[in-house]
Amino acid sequence: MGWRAAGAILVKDLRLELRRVETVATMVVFAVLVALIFVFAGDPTPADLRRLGPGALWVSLLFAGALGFGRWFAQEERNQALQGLLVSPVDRAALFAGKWAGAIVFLLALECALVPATVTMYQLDLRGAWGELALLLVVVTVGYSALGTFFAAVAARTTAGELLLPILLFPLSVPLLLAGAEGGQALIEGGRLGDYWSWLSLAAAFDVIFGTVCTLAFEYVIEE
Amino acid sequence: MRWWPRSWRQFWSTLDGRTYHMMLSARPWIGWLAVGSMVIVFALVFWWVPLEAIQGYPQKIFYIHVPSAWVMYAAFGVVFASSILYLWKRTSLWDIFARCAAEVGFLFTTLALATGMLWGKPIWGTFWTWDARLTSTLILWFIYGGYMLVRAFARPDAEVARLAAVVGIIGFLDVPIIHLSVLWWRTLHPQPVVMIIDDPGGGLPASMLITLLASLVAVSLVFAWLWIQRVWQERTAENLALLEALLERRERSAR
Repeated sequence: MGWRAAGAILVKDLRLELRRVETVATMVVFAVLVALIFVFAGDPTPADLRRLGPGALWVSLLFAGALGFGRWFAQEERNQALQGLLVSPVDRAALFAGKWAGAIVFLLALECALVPATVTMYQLDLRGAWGELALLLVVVTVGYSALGTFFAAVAARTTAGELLLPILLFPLSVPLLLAGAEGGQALIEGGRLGDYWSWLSLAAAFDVIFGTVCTLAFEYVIEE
Repeated sequence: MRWWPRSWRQFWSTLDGRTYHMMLSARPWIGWLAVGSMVIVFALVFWWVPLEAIQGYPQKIFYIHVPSAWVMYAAFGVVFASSILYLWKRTSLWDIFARCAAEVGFLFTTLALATGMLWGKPIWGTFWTWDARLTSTLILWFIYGGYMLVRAFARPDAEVARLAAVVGIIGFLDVPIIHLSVLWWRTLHPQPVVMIIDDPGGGLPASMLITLLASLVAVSLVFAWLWIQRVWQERTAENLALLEALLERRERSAR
């Protein structure tokens, strides 16, 4: 597989985003807003907040991600940039890998702001398990970005466009959402590291399966 | 005339036409068998099989609910297999197979959900609980709803069949993982009563098992019939469009 081509696409996406930061910056604000609105969905006591916290973190991540994937793919459609990529002698799998890696980097950047904000707002006590939470975030982000990049390409081929993306993406991402929320809950409650590792390995298996399948199937989506 | 193919290549090239013609000739038979077996199943359910001691009448929903759920998985299996074959062979029959199986499968998923809710109200005291099977069936319903939306909204220049095939494959692969994750999350559904490995027949008395198996056959036949009917419709529409295009071209060259 063309690692260099994938790297070039990643660097191009990073450079574009660094120039204007518009997508990641908007997504951060959006994600924190979703986490905030979650608090208004009831009259939570501090105990309720700690119970809701992990779920709110992953739901806002899911929503913000769905917003971002559509954007990152739509920018390839502008000025027929995608056609340019397609006529270049680049493996389709490499093209996917590049876009996927870009989505991972952007989502991780978003999490760097979202996680501290959620932990503060929901008064979460991680009991020093920051390393475990970071690992969980990375594993879930890798799988979610694979599905997100893939279905952004599918949705871009429909007239409904970005409206269709969450409808396709959310049901398929349920295992990741559950792994994130339940794994995070296990960390907060403490003493349930066994559960944490089970959820983490479920998410890792999801990454391997859908990372492979999406990379292989991508050529059928963008084939001309 | 020999009916078996000489080679794999010939097998694949003739499978298209041959499968379709076999289906067409079997269509009326399957239709009447479906109607007949459904009548028998209803007779069994309402007159023959004894009333369950604890649940009473609501338990009879079981004989429609379980086969619907079984047909739902079978239908989405057909979508998966046909989608792979479409991407490989690129002949429209496989696409039609997948499309029609998804529609009918969606119908049976709705039926499984609806009958389950009707049963849940008197037995569990609520239409809906977040039990593992209920939840994963609902997610399945959304996945195939999305599949049909992709078909409905594909851009005119995009090749719908290809997009839908990819969604059908990925959706099906996700089903076991979703099921596992939701199972870990929670479970309350009555445990499977038929497929208990060391005790075939499980906890079901013989009369109930016979009724359930008869219903499985009958509902599968109904599924097969509806599916073939849809395939025939879609194939006919395709042929009609082809004929129209041909006629138009002839008219234009005649002028």
